[in-house]
Amino acid sequence: MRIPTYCTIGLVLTALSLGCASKSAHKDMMAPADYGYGYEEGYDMAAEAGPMAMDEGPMDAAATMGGAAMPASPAMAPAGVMGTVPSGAAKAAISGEPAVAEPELPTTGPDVDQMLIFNGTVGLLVDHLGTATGIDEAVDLAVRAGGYIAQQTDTTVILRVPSGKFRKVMRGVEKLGDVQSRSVQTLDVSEEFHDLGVQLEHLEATRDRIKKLLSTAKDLQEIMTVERELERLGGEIDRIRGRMRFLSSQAAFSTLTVAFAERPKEIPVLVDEHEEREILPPPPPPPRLLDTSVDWIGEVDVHQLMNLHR
Amino acid sequence: MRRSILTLALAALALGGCATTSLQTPAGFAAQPDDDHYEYRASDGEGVVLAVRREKNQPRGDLRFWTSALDVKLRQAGYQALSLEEVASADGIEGRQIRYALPFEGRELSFWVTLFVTSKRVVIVEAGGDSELFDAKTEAVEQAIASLTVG
Repeated sequence: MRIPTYCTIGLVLTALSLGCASKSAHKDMMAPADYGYGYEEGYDMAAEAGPMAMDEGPMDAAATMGGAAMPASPAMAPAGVMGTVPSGAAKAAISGEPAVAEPELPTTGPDVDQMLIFNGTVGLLVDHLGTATGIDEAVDLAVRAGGYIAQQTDTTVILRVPSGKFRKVMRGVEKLGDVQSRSVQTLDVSEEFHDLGVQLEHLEATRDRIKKLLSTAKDLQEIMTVERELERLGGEIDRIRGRMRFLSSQAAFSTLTVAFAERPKEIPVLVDEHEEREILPPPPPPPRLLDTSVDWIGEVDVHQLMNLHR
Repeated sequence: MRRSILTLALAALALGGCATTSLQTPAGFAAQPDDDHYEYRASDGEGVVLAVRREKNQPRGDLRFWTSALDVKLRQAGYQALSLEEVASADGIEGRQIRYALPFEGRELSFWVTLFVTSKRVVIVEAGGDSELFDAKTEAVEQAIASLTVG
């Protein structure tokens, strides 16, 4: 029995679709619940990811990496290699300026190769009317470290700083006032990022194969069926790429929320004049007077005169 | 009366050579001879006492100096100065009299100190007693002091 060509194409597409669905189901089962964090369709990556995430590198690297390979692009590098922003010495070497001795405060150890997302919060107590100045100084710290301001209110500023400088910026921010609270949360997205890379690779391979089927299509119905499948695969590929870009930006730039609170204004206490008199030192003794050695002067006394005995 | 004046004069002559200090004993008072501390000492029956000292003017000071030195001592001892009087002896020597009050066991004592100063001598007249009794005899005391001959 001869099987029609469009039936053959339909079977192939069904098999491919089931394969992709199987991988997606596997991902949903295996991925930790945290992996759903922050994922939104249509997320504005350009606004969120900052300049590093605007590079084309992450997409290219993710598209070409193997199943177990980690991304090679700086923006997609895990936190262990998050030194994507050149250090002070490296910058000096590039620009030719003398190196400035700044204390290195690495965020992670040298052997950590996970893709980590840092989220820190610092509560500061500053002097009266010192909130605005404190926010400006906090923003300056972030900008000098290669970061930027993500959000600001009258008393709170949310900063995005390169993850490699996260600890250093946080240390600097803590010097802007009396630390009332401090917390850091770290999210490891290495596994999710790896799974996404694998899915992306398979989807793109499938898309390539379907494109080849498109060239052998005999009629319009076959062409439309293949293009619908290509469109669906393209949407899935874009979603995975978006998620990977989002994770990359999150790992490359950590979030530091700084909340300012002011000390109450000191009101001078009026001193009660009466109480002030009470705490005055005792009056000085009477002046030192003549201490005559003439005996009879000491004998001039009414008691001796009257022969009275005290 | 005559015998008291004579006694005082003789005692003064015996102790001070040519000194002639004398004082008339007031009415109602009796002189007490052989006193170790005073040239003259007399009291009435209620304990009001009048006495005379005669000391060398050494270190040599004027009336103001000796009055001040004695006033300092008495104030430090708790005497309260009430008034300062300018007086004169019977032989025309200017003197100063400071009148004091001194609390004592819930009562008040009066004490008058009168000084006359010459180039060689300081004559001190002391008068005192319970204020309630002394006040009634102030006139007699004043007259006795005014009768003093410094010499």
